[in-house]
Amino acid sequence: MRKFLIVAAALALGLTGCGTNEAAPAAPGAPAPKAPATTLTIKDPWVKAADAGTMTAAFGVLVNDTGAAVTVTAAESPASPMELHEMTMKDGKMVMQPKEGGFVIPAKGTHELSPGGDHLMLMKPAQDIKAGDQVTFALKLSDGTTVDFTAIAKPFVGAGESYAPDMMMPSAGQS
Amino acid sequence: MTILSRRRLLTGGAVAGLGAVAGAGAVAAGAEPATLPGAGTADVGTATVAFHGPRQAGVAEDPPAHAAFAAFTLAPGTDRAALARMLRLLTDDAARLTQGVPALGDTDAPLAALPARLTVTAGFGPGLYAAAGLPSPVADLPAFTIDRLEKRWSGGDLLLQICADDPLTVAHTQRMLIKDARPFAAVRWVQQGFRRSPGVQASDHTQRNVLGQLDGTANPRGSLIDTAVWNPDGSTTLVVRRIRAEIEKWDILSVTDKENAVGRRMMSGAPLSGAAEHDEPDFTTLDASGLPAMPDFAHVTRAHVTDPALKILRRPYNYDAAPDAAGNPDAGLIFASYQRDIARQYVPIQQRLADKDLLNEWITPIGSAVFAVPPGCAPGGWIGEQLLS
Amino acid sequence: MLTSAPATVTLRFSERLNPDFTTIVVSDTARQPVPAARPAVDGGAGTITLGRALGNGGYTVAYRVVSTDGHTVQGSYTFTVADPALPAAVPPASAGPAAVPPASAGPAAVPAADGTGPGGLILKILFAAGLLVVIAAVVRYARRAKLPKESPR
Repeated sequence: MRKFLIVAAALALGLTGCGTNEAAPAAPGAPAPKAPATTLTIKDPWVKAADAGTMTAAFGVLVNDTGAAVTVTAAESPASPMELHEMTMKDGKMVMQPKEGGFVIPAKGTHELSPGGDHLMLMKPAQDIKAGDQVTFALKLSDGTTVDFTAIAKPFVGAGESYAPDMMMPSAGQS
Repeated sequence: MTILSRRRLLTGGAVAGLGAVAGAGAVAAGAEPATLPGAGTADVGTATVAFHGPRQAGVAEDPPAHAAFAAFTLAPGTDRAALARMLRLLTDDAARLTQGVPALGDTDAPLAALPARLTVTAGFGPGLYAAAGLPSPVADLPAFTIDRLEKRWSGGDLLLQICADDPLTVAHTQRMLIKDARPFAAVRWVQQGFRRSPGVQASDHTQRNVLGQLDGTANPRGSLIDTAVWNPDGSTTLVVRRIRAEIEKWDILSVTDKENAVGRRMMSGAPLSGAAEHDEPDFTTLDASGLPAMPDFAHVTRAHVTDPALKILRRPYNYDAAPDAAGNPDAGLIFASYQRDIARQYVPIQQRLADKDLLNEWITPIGSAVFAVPPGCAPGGWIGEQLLS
Repeated sequence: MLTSAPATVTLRFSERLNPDFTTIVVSDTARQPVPAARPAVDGGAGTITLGRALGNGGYTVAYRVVSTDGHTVQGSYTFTVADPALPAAVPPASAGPAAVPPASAGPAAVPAADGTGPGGLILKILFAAGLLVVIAAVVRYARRAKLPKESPR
């Protein structure tokens, strides 16, 4: 039953997305993912629009459809140097820090990357990431495989996370 | 248009049916179509209207109870590439929210759970075409003598028509879309309106406006909507007019006075020449004294169109803002009409009404805007891609 | 009873008329409208010029006008043409052209009327708070004509 629900949800999302979700689990008959051995996927990916040089982050839901845990060890993007980050409570305040050991997605499980939670950090975008831009990413897995995906850039000011002491919030981006 | 109850789809376990809906935007053979008004009220919240397809939703469907018309002014320097980015974002939001799925980065995701037949329809004003360096298929309406247009209700480069059977759904959708439009455009005006709530009347009822008139009786129906509304490429056009109702003056009239102004019975909507709402008005019918039963100055007489290709599809919503201290209402109609060609279909009707229509004594156009409504898109596409990509 | 067929019918109202909202129709006993142009409006007077001669027989003048506050006012009157020079009780279409007075241009052209010249029918109507009161209906040129009575709406 649980498996059915996940499949149904993935299909529902596949039909609502508009080209922003290329690495999402495809409907039966769709082209196979780039790394056939891997069934880690990301659904609903998006990235917060930001000016060049201003750190920002990408989000989505990592879906592991295999019977074994999968670990994301790194992320890459032509748009910016990247780190895997987590938000954690420090001195009564939520701050972010690099995620030791990467993101571990349990067997048949999901791992959400969201504002205020774990995320893929774009440390210093080379160019403006404008609202509506499509940014490509690659997730490096511990088994040496790579999962590519494309995220759409959204203007976003929610969640109020502070990315680091003395660091400005990323702007909402511009047209 | 097919209206599908999302709950039925999911509980029916028709995964293959889902795929069929997604692929074609047409009726899924395996899915059970639910005609909403006949269904229990529990389905009102979960009912969805397909977003993807060759034509945009929000035009031919029975209008939901609530609407927001949000018009935007593009920021200076917004070029074709920026328009494409904006429309990709707005399309993604609309595709998700209309199916009861939160938008990406939706900070109030639970509000997306009940789409209530939500539709989001995008229209492009002449200014959007200018920004894209393209010729505009629509032009501002000519000035009519009856117009008392206010800038705060007029014009617009982009329009988002948001309709749902629930006002909170409309509010959340409006908020989400405005947030994503904001890097590209400023809000120019928003007009919020309402019709009868779902379940109050049969689905095919004609809207009653704040003056008590049945409004939209003459609408094309069935396949005639194709004739009047849709271009072969799936595009259409939209006229939005804010029409203030002079209700204090209207109140003075007797029912007979009102019926003479409209040309229809107030209660039944029947033309004064006939007996039932959908009787075709007969302008040759004479009363006992020899006068035309349909007054020649009545609204219906002046607005009447016989050629199906020249009719317009009225999809109006009422508005009713706060009255002033003296109790004078601020109410009227958000007139919205869809037609293939504004100049050929809408303008001649409006010109006749401006020239002579007794109803003009009680209605005042205070806002006016025109939009081209581009075709719909397939999954993976975006509204406007044919034009801007 | 008119002893000469009118070529125009003028209704005088106590308020100014809006030409757009003024309808005047003359019909014969068969309820066939007599062709006429749209009413010419001059202040409170609306005049239609009949498009053909009226033969002897009964006619109804019906009007529908709108007061300044938007009330529709409508009503009708009857009159009879009994011109000794015309065949009695003929269908209107058979009225001889020789008996047709030339059309008058409007109320100002209505003569004092001796029954032989071109003429018209004049009715006076008063608005009062949207209610119709008839104070006079005068056939100017037919001294012996009876005042037409107001017909119920």
